[in-house]
Amino acid sequence: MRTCEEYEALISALLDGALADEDREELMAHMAGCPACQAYFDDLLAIRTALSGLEDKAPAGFTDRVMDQVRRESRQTEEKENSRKTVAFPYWRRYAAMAACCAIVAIAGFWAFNGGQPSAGNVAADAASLMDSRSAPVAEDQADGAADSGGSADAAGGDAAADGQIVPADSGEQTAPETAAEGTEEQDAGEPETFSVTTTEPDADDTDSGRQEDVRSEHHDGKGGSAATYYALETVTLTTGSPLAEAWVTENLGETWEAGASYALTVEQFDQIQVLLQTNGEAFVLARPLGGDTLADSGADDSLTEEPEGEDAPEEDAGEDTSDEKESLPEEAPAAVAYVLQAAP
Amino acid sequence: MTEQELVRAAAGGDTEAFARLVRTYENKIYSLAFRMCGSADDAGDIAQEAFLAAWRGLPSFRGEAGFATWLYRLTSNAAIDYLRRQKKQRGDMSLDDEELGLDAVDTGPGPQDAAERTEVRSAVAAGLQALSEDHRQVLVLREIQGLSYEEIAGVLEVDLGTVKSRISRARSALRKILLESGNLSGYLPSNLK
Repeated sequence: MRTCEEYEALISALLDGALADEDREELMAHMAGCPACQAYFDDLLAIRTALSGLEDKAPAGFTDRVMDQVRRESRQTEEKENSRKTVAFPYWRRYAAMAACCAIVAIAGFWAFNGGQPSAGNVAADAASLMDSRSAPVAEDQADGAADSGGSADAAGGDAAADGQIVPADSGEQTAPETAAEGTEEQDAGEPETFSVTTTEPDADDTDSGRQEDVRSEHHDGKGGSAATYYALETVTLTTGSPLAEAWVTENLGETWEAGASYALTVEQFDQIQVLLQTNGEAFVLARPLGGDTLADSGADDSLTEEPEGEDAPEEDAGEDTSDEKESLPEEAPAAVAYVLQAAP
Repeated sequence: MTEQELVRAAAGGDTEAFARLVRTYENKIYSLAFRMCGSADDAGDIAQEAFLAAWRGLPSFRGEAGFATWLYRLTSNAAIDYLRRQKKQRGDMSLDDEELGLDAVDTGPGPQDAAERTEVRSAVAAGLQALSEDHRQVLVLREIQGLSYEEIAGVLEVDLGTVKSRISRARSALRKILLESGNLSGYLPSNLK
């Protein structure tokens, strides 16, 4: 025999049509002799009727208001994603930048080997145009500086930018001529004809699509085979004339910081030097491979072809978002990748 | 376009598809929000917040529970968040004020006014606001939204038995409130005396 309280649960289920036949029969028999449960049933039925009549309508224009907000959010998300694409130095662009840097280094090396002397102010501009949005203005500044300091000073400035140099953001004009002066001593031959494709004058406002075309042509028509050799290097090259880097190398690698020298870094060390430069406000240009497989010629070409899309990067991003890069690096770069810190020649 | 197709399109960023979903559910969602919070103005905000949460969450919505169930859940959660915020804001009010839930209910003019002209209906609507969140939630879903036990279980993410017993207790609690406020003339069982 159930209690009235137990029957109340059955009454609730009865109202919802969720009562098994035998329970329903038992409940009906009980209610026939129990005015309290009968009243309970009546009350619940009245409540139910009242509640089901509480049909509310959304205020006029509700959907429109929601959709206004949705569209606003949608636009904001798009803008955010666009700016993140620019700022975070997307995967393909890193690939492109590295490929471009390697190509230019390879070409410069080849010419140096052949006694050539590139017109490197232009190479610097080309390299800068293939860097990410942050690096481009810095590298171009330096290219401008190198160009301003005299024709013979152009060569090393160009190479430095091509290598993905760590350049103090506010000292491009000082660094470039110094670097260039040293470079002049090392390179002493005439202008090789392959450099004739990189003839665009350095111009900070140029969106550089023409220059990229030039570099790409260079890769295809000029020194494609040589460049492919360099693509095989799975390294990150950082070049710096920074005293910070000098001290860091001495302290952490136990080596002497020498112009033109390369230092192998672990992932942690690579992270460390970046953090050091960032926390001390030194902007730097960073180029790195994606790691893994050797970059194939076709892949590099594709990357270079895509590069112009990213050229509308706002200049004010320069030097501000290196932390994004730093954070993403350990996840994206396989451990097998060798990191190299390279001092400016 | 079926609802499923609209959901898929909206998940892919199609705002027009989402607008159609909003239009389909605006009354139900607004109603759930209103009955949960008791204020017409706040119900609009809660319902809007629920739809925005749906828009943001659609790309990761997997659809196991069905779009409506998910939407009810978002609304229900938004309403409970709202109620908790309200409670916090009223933290310095006296206990008496807290207990006077019936008086605090916004029974001012609103789109639901016409439907609540009868005394019993108003009393029931007010009584609903005096219930605990859990009881109010389950009753609104069952009686006003007309959801089945299974659907409610999906919205609240609890099992069927819990739904069943919670509904029963909620009805009993509402009846008690209405009896005590003299809005129900039924026979008061001995266990409530």
